[in-house]
Amino acid sequence: MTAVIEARGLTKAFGAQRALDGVSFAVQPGRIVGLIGPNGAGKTTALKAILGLTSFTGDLRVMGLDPRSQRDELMRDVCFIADVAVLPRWLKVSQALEFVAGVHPRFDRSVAEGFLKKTDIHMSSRVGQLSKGMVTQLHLALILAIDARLLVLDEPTLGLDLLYRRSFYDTLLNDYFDKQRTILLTTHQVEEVEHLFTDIIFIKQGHVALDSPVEELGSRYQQLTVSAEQAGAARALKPFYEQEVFGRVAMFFEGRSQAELSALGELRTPTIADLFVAKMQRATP
Amino acid sequence: MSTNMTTPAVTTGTAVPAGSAAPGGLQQTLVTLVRREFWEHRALWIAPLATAILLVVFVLFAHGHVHIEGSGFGDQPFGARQALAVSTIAQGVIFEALNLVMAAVLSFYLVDCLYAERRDRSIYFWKSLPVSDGLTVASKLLVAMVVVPLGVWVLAAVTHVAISMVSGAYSAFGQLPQHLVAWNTLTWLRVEFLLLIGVILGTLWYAPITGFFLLVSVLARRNAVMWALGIPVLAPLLERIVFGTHYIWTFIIYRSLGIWDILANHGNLKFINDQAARGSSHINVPPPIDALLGELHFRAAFLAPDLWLGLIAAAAMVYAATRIRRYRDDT
Repeated sequence: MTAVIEARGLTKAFGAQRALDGVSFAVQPGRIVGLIGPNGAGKTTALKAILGLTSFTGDLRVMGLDPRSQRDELMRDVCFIADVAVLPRWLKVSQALEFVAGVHPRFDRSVAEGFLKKTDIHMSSRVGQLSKGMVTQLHLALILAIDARLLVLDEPTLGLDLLYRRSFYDTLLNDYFDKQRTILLTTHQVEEVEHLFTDIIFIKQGHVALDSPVEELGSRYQQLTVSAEQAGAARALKPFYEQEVFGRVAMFFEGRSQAELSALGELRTPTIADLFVAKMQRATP
Repeated sequence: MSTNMTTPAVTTGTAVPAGSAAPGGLQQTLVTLVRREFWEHRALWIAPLATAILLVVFVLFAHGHVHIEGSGFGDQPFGARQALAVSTIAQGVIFEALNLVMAAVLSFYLVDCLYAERRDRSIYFWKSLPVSDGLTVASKLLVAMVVVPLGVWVLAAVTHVAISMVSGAYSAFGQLPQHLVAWNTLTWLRVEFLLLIGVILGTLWYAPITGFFLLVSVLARRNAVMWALGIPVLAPLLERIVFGTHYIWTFIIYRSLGIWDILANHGNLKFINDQAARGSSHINVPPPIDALLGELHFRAAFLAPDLWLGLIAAAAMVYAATRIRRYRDDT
């Protein structure tokens, strides 16, 4: 299958600082990919490059198109939510539906209306009168009603309370996602959405620090918890990160066999959140 | 099967194929984009409409307080000809009043239209939809150069008809002297035609200002209105202080009024000269509409090199604004 997104040597510099420094990755169709990194790591820049919103060097194909020169065509197949606050305050809910229906050939108005009926949002309200959570619901209703192949979400639930965040991701997974679609998502709240991802890409200071399908994480990364006495022996196997927890030491390994490690202590597959911390705390290679 | 292949009318009603727009796509998109402008910038229609309503209301309540003395029209007694002249003046004044309001509203609109979307970050929403930057800017030009000017021209005509009907009704019920009210459909149509030419000529002549405002709108990081007003005010002032010259000011004045001067052949019109030669101290107000239509230099105005140079400059600025909107990255 051809990749939905294929980036090779993606580079973007702001003056002397490189927001992206030769980043390469591929996103396959039908996946939910988490693009995860600390603030300023280059996540948003990468998304903007994919959406044709910023200039860059390197090779980037999104559904076979170059976002720099073919952005208008690309936007028929791509949807994105850049941030929760982008719907203008003066826009009425009914106008939002009418507008998207008027400009997007793949928008199904009845889908959006059906979704809005389940919320407290009134057609005559203006965006400025809605709570932040409701604005996100409205935006999601518009996006879900578009039959797009790639959905890009940049911190879509920032500033929302837990209930809205939950319902946002539930809706996304249950009502929207299918094997024909691909979702690329960035977020700070890794713990909350880690069950959602099929693939994760960690990005750190403009470099890809990890790129793996979630089902392969178990065979690639191990988290070993050892007592202080065993720490020396475990350290000899070169963990890439270690952390003291209640007098014991949690060590993270890459590419070690289960047999090697299980004799030394308690072995498990790290959570994405733990792995993220481990990868980010470690000195840059 | 082979017959089906030659009849494109046979559609199966399935999903739109990838990469193609919906039927009637471009036209529908443009109409939607133009409507969007009126949703956001409600002053575009509210301000001219409110002005028109105020004018009608003013006439409704002003009757009986207006005294027109015969002396205002020279030595001639006030007759049907003078009444028609008053009506034609009203027609022009209503048009001018609404156009002044329109100029103010459109200026603010143009300066705001590419600036507000960056200020409230809604540009990311607009850009998430399959609408090109060219089409977006085109919709704003369509609003400022076609929809609003023509709409205001129609509104002015309707307002004048409404006011004429009000004074006609007052006159019919004896509230207003009969001889003060006159209506001539042919004259009215001729005046409207003249005003329409004025609308088209004005829109073309002021296109560089339109382009300049769009460029300020797309460039300003903050205080777009201040930039749009500040540059034309401060630039001549600075020139005056630094060089002691006033080329910029002369240029601004020329770009504001020059075309009307060309249209009126620099005030050198035959019927005005004729009247002056006859030694009449009271030039007919307004000049007879037939004389105006016959003698105004339409051809010279529409073919004026400065009009076309201005249009080229405007096109360049609009193109620049489109490119900047496409590639600008505010992070």
